[in-house]
Amino acid sequence: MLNLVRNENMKIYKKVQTWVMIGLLVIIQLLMALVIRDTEFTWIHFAEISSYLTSIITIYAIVLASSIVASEFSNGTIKLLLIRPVNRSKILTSKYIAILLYIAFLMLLNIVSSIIIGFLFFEKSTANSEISFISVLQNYGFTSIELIMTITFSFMISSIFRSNVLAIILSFMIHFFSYIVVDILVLKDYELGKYFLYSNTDLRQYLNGNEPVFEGMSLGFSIGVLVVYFVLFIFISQYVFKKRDVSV
Amino acid sequence: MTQSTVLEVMNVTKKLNNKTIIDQVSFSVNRGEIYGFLGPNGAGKTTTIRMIVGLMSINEGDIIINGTSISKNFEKAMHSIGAIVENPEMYKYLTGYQNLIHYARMIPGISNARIDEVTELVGLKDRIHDKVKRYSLGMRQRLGIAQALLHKPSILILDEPTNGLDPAGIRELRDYLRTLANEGTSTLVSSHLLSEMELMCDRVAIIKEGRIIDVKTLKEYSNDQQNTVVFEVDQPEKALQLIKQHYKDYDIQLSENGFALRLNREEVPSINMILVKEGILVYSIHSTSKSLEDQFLEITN
Repeated sequence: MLNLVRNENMKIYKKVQTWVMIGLLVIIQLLMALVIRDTEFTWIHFAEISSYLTSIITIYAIVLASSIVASEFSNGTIKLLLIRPVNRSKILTSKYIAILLYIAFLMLLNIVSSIIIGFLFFEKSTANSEISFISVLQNYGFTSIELIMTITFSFMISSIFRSNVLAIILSFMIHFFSYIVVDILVLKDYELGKYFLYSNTDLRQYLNGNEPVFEGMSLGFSIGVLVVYFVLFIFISQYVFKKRDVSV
Repeated sequence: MTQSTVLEVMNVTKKLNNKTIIDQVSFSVNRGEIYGFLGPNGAGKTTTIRMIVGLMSINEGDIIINGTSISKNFEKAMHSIGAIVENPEMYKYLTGYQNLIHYARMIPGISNARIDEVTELVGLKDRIHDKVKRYSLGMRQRLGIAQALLHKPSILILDEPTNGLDPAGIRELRDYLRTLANEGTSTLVSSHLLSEMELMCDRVAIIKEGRIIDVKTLKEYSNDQQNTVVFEVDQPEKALQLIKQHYKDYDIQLSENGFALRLNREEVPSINMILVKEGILVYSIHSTSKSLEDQFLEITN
């Protein structure tokens, strides 16, 4: 299994786009730092602002998760991959782990570089800062939960549709429309909306003083819904991938 | 199943959308044998091969590789197989070497020395650290062979391996498969090109519309038939009458400057002698043996 994950890592890190993404995050942070220099900002303020760059990471995670299986079909490499003495489910699992590792790396990179750039450009003392570093990390934590669900969903799309482009477009559309769907469901006060995945992905709705999007939702309820969706996505991915006749 | 059987395909059936693509196909490949899989495009060659290498599921029947059923123990069965299915598509953004490392990691016990060995074997030593996107089709084929041989499989499965190879490359491949066969590695090779199969294989199975309609060793193909022998003479009419007296049951065809009939090799000198005795001038005698191609077309049509 370790070797399979190493293989997937090699395929991720030998691609130019991977390093473009890494470079992009750092460059955006530098640009932001240059623009908001000479303000009253402390490094924590900067780290807090930088945490919103996770939305870029989310977009990239969708692209990567929806292409990691589909691209093997598009390029025909799936044939030489699946004729090895390794069960298909192991191959799929290794791909999933490799994506999670890479996205975790991007998140970590975003945090670390925002702290370093924060220290270089902004006030080092945190005396007059009203936000704590813990709350910044908390923000990353909540985002990670949304990210994992998004990745798992895109990954499922990737193993269902063999076309790379189709998988990416579909994942994007579903991802972005889902938030609109949540708004519509809330507006119509449609009660079943609380079972909708994207009504539950943002657990910040249970933080002190916040109201959940639907009445009757609790933290336990949302975690339950997320787990059910997660297991379902993984099961469908594995089932489809295992049963598929490779005819590319 | 005997000890010397490496691959056994048993009553394999494949259905797609209620249509039977492969119908009760059975055949077996012996150790050290080069086995040809011949048929027109769309006959089911590639589908059969995809079932053998586990890319497609089997609806009925089973495939046994070195005594292990692929439906019962896929991982063990696949240890004995090395394959290229159609074009050897590799990761183009990786080097040849990185591609080989990738495949080597998927099978326990392949050393770096073995990777170097197969690289040397297929003659890619100088270019192995170049990216695959800079390789020619021929080089990609070689890299394909290299990845198939990494784990020293008992049987190589090559689907249309000569596509995109130049004549020198085809010859090289043929010699190489023969060397492997002498060392005990079997090969199952599919093609729609008969002339190639004739030069490459020990035995050939002919597949048509999802069924195996004939399996023959290539020696049988050339020996079990009489040849048509053409005699070129100065007086065809007279010669024809003469031969008809001696060979009453034969079907003799008259042509502009001679005649032709089907007979065994030993009869040729006797006929020549009759003609010469009667003063008929014989300019040439040649036999036209049916090529595998003619026989193939005869069987499939």
